Amino acid sequence: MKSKLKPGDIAAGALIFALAAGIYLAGLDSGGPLEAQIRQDGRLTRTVALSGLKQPIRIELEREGRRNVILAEDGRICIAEANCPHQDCVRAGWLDKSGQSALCLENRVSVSLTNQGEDAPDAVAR
Amino acid sequence: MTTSKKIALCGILAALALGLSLLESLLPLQLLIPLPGVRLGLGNVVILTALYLLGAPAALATLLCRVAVLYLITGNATALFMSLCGGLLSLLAMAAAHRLPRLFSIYGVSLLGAAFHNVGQILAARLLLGSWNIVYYLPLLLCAGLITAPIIAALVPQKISDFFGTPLH
Repeated sequence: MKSKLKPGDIAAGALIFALAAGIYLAGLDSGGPLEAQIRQDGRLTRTVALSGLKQPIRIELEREGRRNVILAEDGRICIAEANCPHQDCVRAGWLDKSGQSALCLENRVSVSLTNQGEDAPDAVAR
Repeated sequence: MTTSKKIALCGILAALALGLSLLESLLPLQLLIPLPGVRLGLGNVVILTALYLLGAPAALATLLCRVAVLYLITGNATALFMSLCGGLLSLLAMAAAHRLPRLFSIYGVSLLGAAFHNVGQILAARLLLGSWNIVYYLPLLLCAGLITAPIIAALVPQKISDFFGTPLH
């Protein structure tokens, strides 16, 4: 049952790597101004233009006891505090490149960076 | 093997999967690889074992049992939805690959399972968060799976007797 590698194994590995590389390349910076999109409960609640931001912004999100604090500076943004158990979103740290995101699944909050204007699924399929 | 023996084994495997998930959450993998969401996937050792030793229906039963009990313990509906999407898609891919033994060894089955688990979870997160941007997180998860999946496959016992340490009567 457990035996040496078979042709499909190698093909599967190669295919998975190719898919990863493809998505990664599709998401590379297109050089436009950086914009952060903040979503809560699946809806876009706020966008912040990060490129050339003069003063740091502190955004506090609170809904039904779920709390996230977001800090934005010139060219970067992070989730600084959250009351979720896993703290994955805080551990994601500063985001400064298009395509990066910090997710808080427990609080259903996401912060993602884009430089392609609107949230464009076509950019993935391209 | 009789049906009742199979059912009992599924129960044991589901309990084992829960225990391994807990053990995994205690491992400081985050210190080694500081990337949120990257996990070893020890629970999949159990699902793979169920698939190879007991067949696809038993693996499905084990998976559903594990997910349901985890929900009863944590009460976390978000985690339930994520686990279901990842787990079901993963099992579907693994069961399909398992039926082609000339093409895939257990390593290939594990690789496909890991990749489809990631895809399922990203799709679930897409539904919860309402943005396609998280798809850009997929490459990282897929590459991590290329490393973790073979480790998981190597941990699967080859015979029921290996699983128990003694022959099963």
